[in-house]
Parts: sequence; C-alpha cells; structure tokens
Amino acid sequence: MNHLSDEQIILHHYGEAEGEAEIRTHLEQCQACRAEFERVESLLGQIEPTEVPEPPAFFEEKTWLNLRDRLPQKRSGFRQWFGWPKKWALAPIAVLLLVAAFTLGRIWPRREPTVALAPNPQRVVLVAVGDHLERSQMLLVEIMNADTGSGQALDFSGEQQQARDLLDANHLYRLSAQHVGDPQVARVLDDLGRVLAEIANGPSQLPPGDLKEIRTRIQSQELLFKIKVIGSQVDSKVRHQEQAPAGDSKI
Amino acid sequence: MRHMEGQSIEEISSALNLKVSATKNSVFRAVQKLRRHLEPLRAWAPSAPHIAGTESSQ
Repeated sequence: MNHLSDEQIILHHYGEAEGEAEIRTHLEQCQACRAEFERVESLLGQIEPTEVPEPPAFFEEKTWLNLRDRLPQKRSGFRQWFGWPKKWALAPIAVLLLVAAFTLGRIWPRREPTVALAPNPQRVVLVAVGDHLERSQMLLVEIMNADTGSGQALDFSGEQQQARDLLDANHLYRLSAQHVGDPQVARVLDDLGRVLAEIANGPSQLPPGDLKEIRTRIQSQELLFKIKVIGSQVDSKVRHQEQAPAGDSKI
Repeated sequence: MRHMEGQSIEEISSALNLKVSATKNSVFRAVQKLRRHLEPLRAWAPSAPHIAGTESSQ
C-alpha cells in the first residue's frame, strides 16, 4: 500500500476516513505515516474545543432592558395617527365633514323660495308696458309741441322711427291686454296704435296740415290723458307687485 | 465545526448544504491551514502545552 495522503491522515484522526482498517494496518507498518499521523494528532490535540459560555442569569431580560431605553420611542394612538404623513392626516376628517354636511343638507327643512328671488313674469310685463306708455307719451308730447309757425314741412324722420318701434310693441301689448281681459287698456292701446301707425307710415317731411290732423286725433281721443291714467295705474300695479307676492294682476 | 463542536461530516454537510466529499475536502484544507500557521509556533515553543490563543479561557 502506498503512503497515506494528508487527507487520509487528517480524516483518520477524526474517524471519518474511508477504509479505516486498512489505514490502521498501514500505520502499524509504516513508520513515516505513523510519524505524520502523530504530528497531526499532537497538533490537533493541543487545540482544545472552545466551550461556549453559558449566559448569566436573566441575561436576556437585562439585555432587553438595556436596549429598550435606547430604542427610539414608537408613536402610538393619536400621535401616531397625526404623525404619519401630515398631508393625509386630515383626510379622514375632511371626508367626515363632507358626509356630515351632505346628511344635514338632506335632513334640514327646506325654505320655500322667497317671492323677491323668484322672477315674476307679470311684473316684468307691467314694467315693460309702463315703459312703452311712457315712451309713447313722450312721442305724442313732442308731436303736440312741434313748432309749426314757419308753415313749412317739418322733418319727422326721427319721430317716425320711434313710432315704428313703438308700433310693434304696442301690437303685442294690446293682444296681451285682450288676452287677460283688460278692455280699458286694450282700447287705449288700440287708439295709440292707430296714431302710431299714422305717424310711422306718413311722409318724413310732414306738412303742417297732416300734423294738424294728427294733433286733432290725439286731442279728440284724449289719448295723452288716457295714456297718463293707464300709466299711473300700471305704476301702482308694479309697486303693488313689489310689495305683495305674485298675483294674477291684469295689465 | 468538526473539531470545535464535534459534529460529524454528515451533519456538517447537511448544515452547510454541501456534498460529503466537499465537506471532507473543506475539513482537510482547514486543518492544512492550521498546520501551516501553527507548526512554526510548535517548533519555536515545543514545550507549550497548548497552542497560544486556543486555550479555553472563558
């Protein structure tokens, strides 16, 4: 048998080599290998296994107590909730407020909308009619007071344009007055409409004769007076509408 | 592990997830390394009962 290898000698020392019997026999016969084995055994025999010391009593408890005082304090409860990312800390509160506001809004008794806030179409019509009567009255006053001393034809182009504008509105208001059953107003608006039509459809250079004829018609029908009366009635109705809730006032 | 704790080759190979042959080779190489470092010390102080630094002092 050849000499033992270092690996065989070392493993034989630990009793882990293969062919222990053969190795043992060889060591008995081979002086060199036995000397090598004795050197290994002597060396390893001097290395005593290190014994792991047993921890003293309450070692774990003492270690934990020492560590516990040095650890950073962990937040808990309310502080932890608010210490965690500040931008999200108030989010649950905001959600709660929204839910509470929504619930209260559903439960809270609703107020009926006030008259002042609600648009009143009848009042709007009355105001418009009042404005129409006022403008018509001004036009008629201008015509009545036009200077005719020179005996020449007067330029009525401006008045004609006004009369055309008033004529369209007058037609609508007259129909409205008839619709709501207010014959007095409808009759006045009808008379006014004829005069406005005559002005609007007449020549722009109004001869004194034609002007006199128009004036006569206005005076004979007492149109200015009627317009004033109806205008004042409309104004009073508008004021009444402002103070009282919407009713079924006639134009 | 083999010398200090007295574990067998099988136990060491299982603990370190190594093959038995690889474990044997590791033990061999570890002892060789010890010999390389400790043999000169033994030659210098042959009467020392234990290798310095390997005594059980704790």
